This record gives sequence, C-alpha cells and structure tokens, in this order.
Amino acid sequence: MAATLARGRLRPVPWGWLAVLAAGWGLVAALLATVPRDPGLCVVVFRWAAFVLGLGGGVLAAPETDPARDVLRAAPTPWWWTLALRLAGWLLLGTVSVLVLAVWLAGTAGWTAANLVRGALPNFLLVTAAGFLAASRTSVLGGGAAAMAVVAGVDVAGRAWPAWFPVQLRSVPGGPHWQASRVWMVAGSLALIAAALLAERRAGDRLGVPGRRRPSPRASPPSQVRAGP
Amino acid sequence: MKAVARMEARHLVRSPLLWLGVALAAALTALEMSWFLPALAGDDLLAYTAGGLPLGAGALLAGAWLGLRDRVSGAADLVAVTPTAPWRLWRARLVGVAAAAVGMFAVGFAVALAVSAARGGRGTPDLRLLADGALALVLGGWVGVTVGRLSGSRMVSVLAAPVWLVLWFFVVTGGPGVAGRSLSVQNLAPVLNPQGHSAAYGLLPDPLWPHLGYLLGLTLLVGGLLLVLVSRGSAQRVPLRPLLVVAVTGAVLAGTGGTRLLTLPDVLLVLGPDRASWKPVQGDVYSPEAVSDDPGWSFPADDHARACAGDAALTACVYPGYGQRLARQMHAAMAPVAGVFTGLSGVPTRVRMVPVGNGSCRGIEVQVPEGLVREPAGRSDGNTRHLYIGFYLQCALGLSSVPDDHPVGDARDAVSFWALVASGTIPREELAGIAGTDPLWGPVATAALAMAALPTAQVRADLAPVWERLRAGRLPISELPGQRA
Repeated sequence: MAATLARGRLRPVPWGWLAVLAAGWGLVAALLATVPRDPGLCVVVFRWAAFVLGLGGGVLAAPETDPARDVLRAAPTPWWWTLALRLAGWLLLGTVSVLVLAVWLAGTAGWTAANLVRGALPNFLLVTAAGFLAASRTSVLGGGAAAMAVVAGVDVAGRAWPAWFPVQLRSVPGGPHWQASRVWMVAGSLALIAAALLAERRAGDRLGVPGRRRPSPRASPPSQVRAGP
Repeated sequence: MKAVARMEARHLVRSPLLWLGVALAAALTALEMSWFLPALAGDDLLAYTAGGLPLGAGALLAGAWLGLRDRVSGAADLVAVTPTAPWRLWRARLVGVAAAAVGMFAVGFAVALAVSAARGGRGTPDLRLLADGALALVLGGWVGVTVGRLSGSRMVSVLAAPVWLVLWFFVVTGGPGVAGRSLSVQNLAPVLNPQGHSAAYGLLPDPLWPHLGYLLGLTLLVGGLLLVLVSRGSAQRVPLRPLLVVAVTGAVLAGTGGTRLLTLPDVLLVLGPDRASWKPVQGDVYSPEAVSDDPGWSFPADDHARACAGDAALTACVYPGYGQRLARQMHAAMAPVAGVFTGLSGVPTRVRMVPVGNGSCRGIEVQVPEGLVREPAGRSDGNTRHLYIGFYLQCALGLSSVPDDHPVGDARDAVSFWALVASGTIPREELAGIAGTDPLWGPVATAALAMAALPTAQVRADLAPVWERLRAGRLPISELPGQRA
C-alpha cells in the first residue's frame, strides 16, 4: 500500500525528462570539455558543469510539480518522505552522470577519476540542495535562480576572503582548501536538504498529519481494530 | 500600449529574479573594486564587467518568467481573444523589459561610480560602457522572454540562464590564451572583458562602438524574431515593411559590428603618445617581450601624468584619474630612499606613471607602470611601499627591470640593502637576520650592514667617486664603503 502510494507520488516528477537532462548533460559537458585546448580548463568546465546539472533538483519539490499540496500532505504517507525519495532518485541519476563523465575525463590535466568525482559531486549536490529548498518555497524558476545565486555567492565570498572562507570553488587537489571545501559543501548541502525536509514535515504537522510514524504497509484486519471508548 | 509597457516595467523592477542578479552584481562589483585603486575611468569598466554578467542572467530569468506568465497563470486564452494584436502586446512587453533593464543597470552603474568617487576616484567615466551594459541586459531580458514564450517550460527557462553564462564563458575563454589564433572571438560576448585599459588612454583597443552596434543588431533581431513568432496563427500579423527594416538593420549592425570586433587585437600596447607606435598584441599579452626586446626601453614623454606631489628632491606624477593622493603616497614611499642618494650623479628626481612595462627608467625619471600600481590586490601597504621603492632603486642603481638579470651578490644589491636600512625602510635587525641565515643573500647583507654602521653622509661621500662604476655593475663588493677592516 505504502509502496503504491510512494510510486504514485514519484510519478508527477518528470523522470523521463530528468533522465534526458542527466544524459544530455553528460554529452554536452563531454563535448564542451573538449573545446578548450588547455587541459586544466577542461577540468574547470567539467566541475562548473556539475553545478548546472544540479538545477534539475528544483523540479522535485516545486509547487507546480504537485499543485494540490495540502491534499497530499493530508495523506497517510508523510509528504517529506516522498520528497526524500524523489531527492534520492535524482541524486542517484545525477551521480551516475557525474561518475561516467569523471571516468571518461580521468587523467585530464593530471586529475584522477576519484579527484574529478570529489571535485564535481559536491558541486552537483550543493546546487541540488539549494534548488530543492528554494523551489519547495517558490517555484522551479525561483529555485533555479536561488541555486545559481548560492553558487555565485559562495564563489564571490571565497574570492573575497580566501584566507578564512572555508569553501573555495576553485580549489584543487592538494591545495590548502581542497579538503575543507569538499567537507563544507557536502555538510552545507545536507543541512539545506534537512531544512527543506524538516520544513515540509512541520507543514504536515500543522495539518495534523503524523510525521514521525510511518503507516503500516498493511491495514489492520477489522478483527484487530480496538473499539473506541 | 504605453500603459502595458509601464506596467510590465514596474512588474519587472519588483521581480525577485532581477533583484537576485542585482545583489550578486553588487557583491561582485564591490569585490572587484576593492582590488583596484579607485579611478572613475577604470571603475566604470569594473562596474560594467562585474555587474553586467549577473545582472544579465537575472534579466534573462525575469524575462523568461514574463514569457511564461500567461501560460502559468492560465491567462493565455484570455490574452489570445483580446482585440489587441499579439505582436503589439509583446512589443509593449519587450519595451517594458528594456526599460526595467536599462533602469536597473543605470542605477547600478551610477552607484558604483558614486562609491568610486567617495573612495577618491577621479577622472571621466566612459558613458559608452553604460550604454553597452544596458544593451547587454536588454538583450539578455529579450532572450529570456523568447525562451520562456517559445519553450513554455520552466525547466528550460531555468537552464537558459546557465547556458547564457556558459556561452559567455566559452566565448571569453575561447579567445585569449589560444596560441595561433587570429580572431578576437572574446569580443563577441554580450559583456566585454577588455584586457587593456588605462585611465589616461582608455580601452586598448577600444571595441565599444562596434560592440554597441553588434549588440543593438542582435537585440533588434531577437525582438523581431519574437514578434514574428507570437503573431503566428493570428489574423493580425506584424507589418512586413517595418519588420524588414528591423531585420535588415539588425543583421547589418550585428554583421558589421561583429566583423570589426573579430579583427581587433586582444591588446593594444601604448608605446608612446603617437598612435602610430601602438603595438597590437594577440595571444600572450603579458610576456615582457610584448613591450620591447630592448631592456633599456623607456616610455617617451607624454603629458598625461599631471597629478603631482613632491618637493625639490623628488616629484611623483600620476594620471589625474587616480588623484593626487596616489602621487603623495608614491612620494612618501620613495622620498626617504631618494634622500639617501641626494647629490649622487644621475639619481632620479622624478617619478612618472606610464601605461605599459614592468618599470623602466628614462634619464633621471622613474617610470612606474599603471597596471602594477592600479591593482594592489593581495598586497599589504608595506608591500606596496616596497614596490615603489623597488622601482626607484632600479633606476637609481642602474638595475634591470628583468628579474635575475644580474648575478646575486652584485655590489648594487648591497647598496640597495644599505639604502633600505639607512632610510629606515627596514630595520637593521631584519638585515642582520638575512646576513646570518640566508646563504644566497647573506654576503650582500653583511656588506650592507658594514655600510650601515657608518654615517650615511660618509657612505654617500665614499660612494661618489665609484658611483658610475657601481651603476655599470663593475664595482666589486670589496670596494664598497666600510668593507676594508
């Protein structure tokens, strides 16, 4: 029952479109990464392209994807759980794309596939998380714009305070900010995702929907239903 | 239709998407401006380049939202049955976008210049940059409207902004740094990123007029295309004659402007006041050889460095755009060192800002390159002072501006160290530290310490007879004052 409901709730997301986006992104990024003659620039293109891929995360939670929100929130399956499922699906899709391209680009400018993944995956995650949170409050367009603003803002802050700002989007393996940037970006992204899901759960609670309990996959047989006082 | 245009402009000015662009543009411009010395003829370019890109993306998203709005709000059918021709309605909307974009950019540009003036920036800003930036924003907004209207997809509209930026990135990075390239592809970006600029000589080369034409042409083409597309299927088509005029004008402007932009050099090196001497450089514009192969090259006299400060012993002059404050700073940094050499033959008594080079000497004149002075990013005040003093010592002691051009351990290095200590620029203890620990510079520092132990006037008097040999690099350290036990 719950699985059917979950499937039903995953359905409004244009997964086919997102799959095309992820695959198309891989192809276009691979093509663009071959344009610069400087191999270092190819890596830059790949890492920045990962930000663009993350924009797909806005669709998952935007109000226009599921117009009748309050109806969905009032259903037995907690709505935030559905959002988390969608997010997991999208992260899986995007990660596969990033991994494939990283393997394909391995060795470019001395970057190993592992380092390419470390350099690009947090970028994808950050934009996905920011877009997910902002889109759940505004729209696909608002989420995308906010996600892009987060990236630009982090980049500007990193350039303004290179000594102490922990996230440096241009950091390279072995550089002073490499490890810290990865950790902070992932931590920040997880915080944004948690904030989005928590806000959604609270919205569900306000409607009187129990958020913590997961409904039993099977309804209790009538014989076991306790009579009320 | 004027009312519609006004209403749309008001709507757009309140768009959070556009304001997001404004916030980013403000942050980026403030950051860029903090890296450079204030000068109105220079900060105008920073406001244009740093502000134009995020604002353009914001305008594109806001325009895309406008293009999507009828469909999203369910008003598309209502709009379709109004007696007004669709192309007239969309023309009014495009005018609204243009008005909002121009207004936003103009306000941002004015604020940036006001901040620059408050920081001490002087000179005359280039208002063509305002026109060019505003036009780039209008183009971005119109492209957004077209994408939103034609795709009808929010996701495509969201992706349009990064695609716009990525295109810009590729156009810009596809230009400089590519060996063997003959066309300046980077000039085709909606917002220019000129590499050559001087507060006195302006943009080098100056791509603004052709770029204005190019942008205007593209904007007309995009606007015309949208009007044609929205009137498809409607009984009220766009009048053919005005449409043809717009299309032909747009194509001609974009074509001629684009062609001219492609043929401009990456950088025009100003090698003298005479335009005939200006040297176009393509590709690696930062190589020292780009200016001149001759290490003794110097910039000829021009009359541009007119903001001066100083005294009879030393005068520093910079371009008026930087104000007299910079001239005073330069003088304050160099004067103590200059005082140590007073009376010795051929020592500089004048400092002049020049547009190119890495620091050159012309007789008794120290030539300070504008590019190095203007960008003090990452340099402390102390480092900036040392930079100025370095320029002075180079000319006073006849050192080459090319690093490592003379062997370490040259007597001139010892005299440099001595001058720094004698003028109070560095403490004696610092030099003693070098003497005791640095195997490379230790002997020179030890010689300088021995000189510093003597009265400055005595060292100067002892240097006078050997001064020319010293400047020619022919004096051994053992003949410097204080070296004989």
